[in-house]
Amino acid sequence: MPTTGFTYLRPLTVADLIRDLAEPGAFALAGGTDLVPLRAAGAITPAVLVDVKHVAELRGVETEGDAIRIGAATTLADLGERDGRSLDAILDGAKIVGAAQTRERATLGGNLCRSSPAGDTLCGLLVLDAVAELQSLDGIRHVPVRDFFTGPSRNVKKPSEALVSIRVPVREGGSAYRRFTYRRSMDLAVVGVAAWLSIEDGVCVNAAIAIGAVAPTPRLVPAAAETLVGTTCDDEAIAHACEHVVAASSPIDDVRGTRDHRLRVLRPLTRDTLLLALTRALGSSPP
Amino acid sequence: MSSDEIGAESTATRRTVLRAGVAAAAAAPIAAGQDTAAADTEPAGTQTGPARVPLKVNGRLHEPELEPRVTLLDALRERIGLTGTKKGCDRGECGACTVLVDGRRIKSCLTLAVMQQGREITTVEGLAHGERLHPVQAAFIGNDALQCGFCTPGQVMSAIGCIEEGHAGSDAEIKEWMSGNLCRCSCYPNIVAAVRQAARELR
Ligand SMILES: Cc1cc2nc3c(=O)[nH]c(=O)nc-3n(C[C@H](O)[C@H](O)[C@H](O)COP(=O)(O)OP(=O)(O)OC[C@H]3O[C@@H](n4cnc5c(N)ncnc54)[C@H](O)[C@@H]3O)c2cc1C
Ligand code: FES
Ligand code: FES
Repeated sequence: MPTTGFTYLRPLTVADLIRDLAEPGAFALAGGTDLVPLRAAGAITPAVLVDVKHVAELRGVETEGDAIRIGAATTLADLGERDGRSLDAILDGAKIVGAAQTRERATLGGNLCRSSPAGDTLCGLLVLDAVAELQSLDGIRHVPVRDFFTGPSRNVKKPSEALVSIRVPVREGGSAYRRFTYRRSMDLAVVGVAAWLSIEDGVCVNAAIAIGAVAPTPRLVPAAAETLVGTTCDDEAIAHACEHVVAASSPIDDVRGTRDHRLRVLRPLTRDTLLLALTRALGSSPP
Repeated sequence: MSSDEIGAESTATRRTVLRAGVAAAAAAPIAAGQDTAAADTEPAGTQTGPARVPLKVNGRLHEPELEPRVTLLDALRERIGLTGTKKGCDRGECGACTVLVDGRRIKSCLTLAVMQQGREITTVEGLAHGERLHPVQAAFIGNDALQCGFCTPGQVMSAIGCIEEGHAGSDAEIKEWMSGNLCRCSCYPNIVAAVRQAARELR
């Protein structure tokens, strides 16, 4: 057990937040559900912990123009209580992270910044084309989530940058996220899949598919999505998409599952997720 | 409902700083843009040490001397002496440490005590009124929902949250929303029965 101490800071404005994060060895602290146990285990040794939960700009969900803006420190419990169609794939993930007590603390920004290959909101953020707003003393930059991850638990965010918000464009269509776990809850995804489908007159006009826990990072599979465009998402088209998904995955053997098992689960899970997204897309399109 | 934490502390200042020998600092609120000078007046370095952390537990204000790294669970058990809240795993997996903060259930091993300053913390010790048990406590006894009892304080606190949230409508819903609380004695059927009964009584 490391005995190194740290300083706890609680800024109330974005200006103070980014100044505090510029201190050497500073880490943002949101819900702490990843960070507190990681620090206790000595996996990280922060010199300063900057509590982001008291900055107003980082809390809450609002519609801003043609996008939905989610404050980075919005808890998964608060998100899960929404029933916004346009966020379905993200909410499907937010609702199954840990247990009720975990979601009361855990934040969407924390899930994104942790960047676990198995993070349950990440595939949803990918298919819904979310954009991360990062801010530091050097200014603001907007990074699409598709360009955010660089490896397992690694991303493009610099330690001095705060994730302020996540913007999700409002679009037509239906989306979904499903994961496979051995236990129904309190387990991490062995495999996760998210899908978004836009349907016009029964034909798919746009699509996105993302996979989690079967590659070093959650990732989009554009080739799989492309096979669906122009089809009615019939069995054949979906089977075709599943082939591309399997081809794009590179699962490993680890404590939660073998490579072989992951590959075996991936196909039916992709199919189920696509069918759910399709049902939702048809439900939301005008009669 | 939004468990908004902003503005929860009337005494909140720009930053709550815990450093060696410095009590929870009360730097005057500083407008954005003009704070560089203020930063320089703060002690340099990141040496850390204990400071008084005001924690409101079961309606009573405690001010234990805490280092920022102390979890709420350890603060409750080891510094305040409320040992009803149990430590099973200390990493968020078992639920034995569940307490209510501003009426919402959380795992106290996953949060630092300094993060919970100014909030209403309720532990199992704060439930009974004298000899009169909380309906959830009574339901656990009535339904024989425990064997060794180690998980019980966490189960009871979680059950109160579960019922309060409106997630105790059916056995399936209770199982789903109580899934963060493990019981090594596997009293699950009786726990579900207790939550079901308490939910009826509390509604
Ligand atoms: C028992 C248990 C079960 C879990 N189950 C799941 C699960 O099923 N699925 C899943 O996906 N995850 C799970 N997790 C992991 C964790 O709960 C989630 O990743 C959660 O979303 C993290 O959010 P947080 O607010 O607690 O992050 P924190 O722990 O506060 O932070 C995580 C990381 O993100 C950084 N960070 C956070 N916010 C910001 C910000 N605004 N700006 C810059 N950096 C920031 C921190 O510096 C840190 O590196 C589980 C954890 C536990 C303990
Ligand atoms: S001790 Fe906190 S969840 Fe196990
Ligand atoms: S009663 Fe023994 S662990 Fe639950």
